[in-house]
Amino acid sequence: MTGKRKMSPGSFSAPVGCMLLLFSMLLGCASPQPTGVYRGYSGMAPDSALAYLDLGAAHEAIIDDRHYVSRVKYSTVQLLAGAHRIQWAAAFGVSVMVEPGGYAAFETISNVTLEAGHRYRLSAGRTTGQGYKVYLWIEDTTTGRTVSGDKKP
Amino acid sequence: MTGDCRGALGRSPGLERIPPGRVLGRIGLCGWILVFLTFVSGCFHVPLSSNSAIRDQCQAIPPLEQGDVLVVYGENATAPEQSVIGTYFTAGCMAAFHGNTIGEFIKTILKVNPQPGRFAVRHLRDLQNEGGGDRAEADGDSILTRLKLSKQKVAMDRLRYAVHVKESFEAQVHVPLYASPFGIASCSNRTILEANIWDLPTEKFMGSFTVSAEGEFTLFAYLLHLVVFQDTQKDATEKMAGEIVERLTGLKPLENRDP
Repeated sequence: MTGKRKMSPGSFSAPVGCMLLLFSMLLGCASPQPTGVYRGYSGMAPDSALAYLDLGAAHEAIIDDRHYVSRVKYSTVQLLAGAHRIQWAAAFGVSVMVEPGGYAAFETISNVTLEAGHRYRLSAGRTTGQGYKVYLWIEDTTTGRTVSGDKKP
Repeated sequence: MTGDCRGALGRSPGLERIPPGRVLGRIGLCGWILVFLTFVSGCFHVPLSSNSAIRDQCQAIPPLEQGDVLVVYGENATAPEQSVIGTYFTAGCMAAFHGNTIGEFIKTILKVNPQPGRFAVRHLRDLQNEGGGDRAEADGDSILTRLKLSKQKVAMDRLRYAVHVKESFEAQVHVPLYASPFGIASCSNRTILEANIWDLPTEKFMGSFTVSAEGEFTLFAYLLHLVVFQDTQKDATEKMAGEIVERLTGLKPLENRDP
């Protein structure tokens, strides 16, 4: 037969090997983003009485010592407007020269008063190198004001 | 053996004769070797459940009501000591230790609570930092005196039960034959959590729970590091938290599915 190349097993080996390698590399950091909204109050409440807290940089939060919210499942917490105690933690990937584990987690407790209709975000930042500084703060994204903690300069 | 290799190396006449199919085959072989190296250069964890047991010496406990507060305090175990050389030859298997069991216990109670928001869990340290009234009225050796809490604070903050948790952790080296990146290391570890419960308004001792969890940390390495690990601290904490929630709410605790 003319016009047809005979394919040896080696011809398939190269693309399959490359595809597997690429696939194994891509697998590393693939994770779905959670979109769930956690309801941090009991009973019924009108929308006008609610404030929204985006977990943002936090990987977990405990609201008013009653509700545990994990970033694995939820991205936002709905809360009644008013005073709240938010215990939250953020983790950073750091050099193994700084932390042997390759990451460092920081926790803080923020006592804040949330306003109805406003959206807030848990934010974290750090400087780099030895003796790095960590900043954990809560920002009212509706007004752009920092309501708790120090914003990273 | 005589002969001149320069010509062969300089002209590489053999290479010119390799057909395209064989070149692809060699690239394929390189691809497979890279795939293999990618797999073997990593570390693969196999978490297993520990062998745990619970001893319940608690009397019937009235369930927590909406708005009640559970006070938790206690002592974390100290990390087992090991030399630098010992740590190397055991791949640090004794250092697979978490230093914040009490904090994790509080979190786990909230995680497995089937009715989130029904009760709060607070660390005693936070309550003490807030202050809270006159302690003079409490008896000399009562639980409130020991916790530095007043009756007013207990009533005002609705502090219902106090749970004291004491952790002990033991680890033993079995096989210290690891020299990176080859070898075998194995350590057994055992966690015992003992919880004592008091009813704060009546200052009455309600009883105790003891959870023990035993497991093995085993590492096999031949480039690829395979770690089979039974996290006894985590398992004991989950078991204890589940038991506390079940006894104090009368409800079946949720499964802790978070990492």
